[in-house]
Amino acid sequence: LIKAAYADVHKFGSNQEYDKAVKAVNRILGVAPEDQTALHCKVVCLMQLSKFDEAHKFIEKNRLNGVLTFEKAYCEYRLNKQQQALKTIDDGATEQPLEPKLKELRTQILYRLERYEDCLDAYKSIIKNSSDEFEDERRTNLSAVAANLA
Amino acid sequence: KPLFFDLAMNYLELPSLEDKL
Ligand SMILES: [K+]
Repeated sequence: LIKAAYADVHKFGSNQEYDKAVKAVNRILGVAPEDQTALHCKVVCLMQLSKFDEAHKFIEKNRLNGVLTFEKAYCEYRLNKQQQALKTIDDGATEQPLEPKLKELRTQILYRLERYEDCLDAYKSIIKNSSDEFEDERRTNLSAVAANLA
Repeated sequence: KPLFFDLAMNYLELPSLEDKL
């Protein structure tokens, strides 16, 4: 059962059919409620379905705060709890410098908090150290920060 | 209001299911 359900999670997840993926995850959690991979999958599916409040509550209820720092902080970002999101990252990060996804999110949180100078510095650092398909979007964000500083 | 992209969402992905399949 678990193996077949994981095959469905993989298939539906790859097709971005997250409503079907979450049903497959629920089948796993029905028999293995502590399965850490399934718990993680459920959080990601809920977030992909824009159910950020439900995902956030699920993280807290299952005590996943320590392992899903990025997911928890991203939910808080989307729920417009920016101070809490920043705290989640700064308390939860085990690596310095921050891993790229936490650094990217933290920078967006700084923007929402209107901490434009910190945000500008963070974007300059990200742009210097990254080379991916989002360089143009990042430069647009940098321009937005600069416009707010002008 | 200036255009501002959410790039963090691109990092959201399912965990590896390699040892579960
Ligand atoms: K670069």
